[in-house]
Amino acid sequence: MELNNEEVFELLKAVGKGSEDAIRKLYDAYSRRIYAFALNRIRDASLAEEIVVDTMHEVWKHPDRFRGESKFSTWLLGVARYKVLTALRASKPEHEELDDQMPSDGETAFDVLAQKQRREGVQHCMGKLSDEHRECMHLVFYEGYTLKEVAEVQSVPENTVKTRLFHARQKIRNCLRLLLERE
Amino acid sequence: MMNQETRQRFDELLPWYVNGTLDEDGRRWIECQLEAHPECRGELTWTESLQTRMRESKPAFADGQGFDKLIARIRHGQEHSMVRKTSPERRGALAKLTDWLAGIGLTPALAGAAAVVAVQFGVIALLVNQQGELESEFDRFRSVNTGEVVTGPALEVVFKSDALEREIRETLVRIGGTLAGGPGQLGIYLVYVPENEIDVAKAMLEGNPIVEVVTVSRASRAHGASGG
Repeated sequence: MELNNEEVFELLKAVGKGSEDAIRKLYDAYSRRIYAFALNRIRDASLAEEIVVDTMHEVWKHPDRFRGESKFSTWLLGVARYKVLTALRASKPEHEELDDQMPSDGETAFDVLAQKQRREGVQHCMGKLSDEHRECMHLVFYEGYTLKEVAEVQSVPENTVKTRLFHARQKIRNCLRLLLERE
Repeated sequence: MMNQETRQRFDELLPWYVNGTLDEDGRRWIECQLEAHPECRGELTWTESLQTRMRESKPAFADGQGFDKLIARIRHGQEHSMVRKTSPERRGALAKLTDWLAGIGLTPALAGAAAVVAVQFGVIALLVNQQGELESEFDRFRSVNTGEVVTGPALEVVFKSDALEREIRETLVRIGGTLAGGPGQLGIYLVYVPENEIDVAKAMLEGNPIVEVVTVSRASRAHGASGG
């Protein structure tokens, strides 16, 4: 459930006065989305829960930092992203990079892929993407964000988002195709 | 077959068409292309299917999961700050001064009030003195918004929420950085350092306990950019 900025400001005002009830309402409204975002990026359930708590604790400590220039969820995922980066700073990437060179084939291959790709396969291939690509895919297709919002959360220019998205889709498509060929 | 330019635009707009955030003009353009090039429908179907699969993968997260931890942290934080306000060292010094003033003939209440006033004057004098010493050094970090474009790489820095402004300023002095923007809504400071020093500055910031995150931004930024 996305609250509008007016409702959010009311709750933040109450948070500023120390209302635990208000932070609970914000937590109920946004914790799932923060968790899904963090889990997509770090793939560790307990760490993702910590990110949720850390992010909402920031809201508790600094309710005045949100100024309403974007949707609250966009701002919140930006905060969560920095919490994730902090958590990841010491760790090394574990994924293997995928090739995004598209083998030439007929357009009908897309139809076959669309019919056969399964949730597990998509999850597997998402896990093979780089952190930035996976995050970008999540924000576009899971969160349904606009180009501007994705750029805001990822702190990059819109053109970078377009490039990331293009390569991420190519890589995931190749990965899914390989999976189907192996079956 | 689409020409290369059309194909590139189609690829660029399709994800936003599928997730429903494309503007009306863009939607119409995509629909025209799909009409004119039916072979592209396969890609649309695949992208829609990808979105469906991704949205099916909602992770399990119970109502209120983790909220107890948040409340515990909030309450612990409040207790912690209360403890800091009445630290034994501060109470001890104040108590000693009160005792001394009472010893020179003032009533306990008057001695207490006089002690508080004396401590406040002492703190103000200390701050004025420190400001004087640091003023010239910090002159070059005064917040200005000139609209100038900073070219080359810059550092995006998030400081810990309990970092003091003075600590932040001192950190910037140490790395030879210029504050080019921020902090924005996310608390990001955009700090410019000469390109050949950026790696050293980043390493110094990473090892600084008041810094939460530091990343290198390769894009050009304007002074006064929000940074978040």
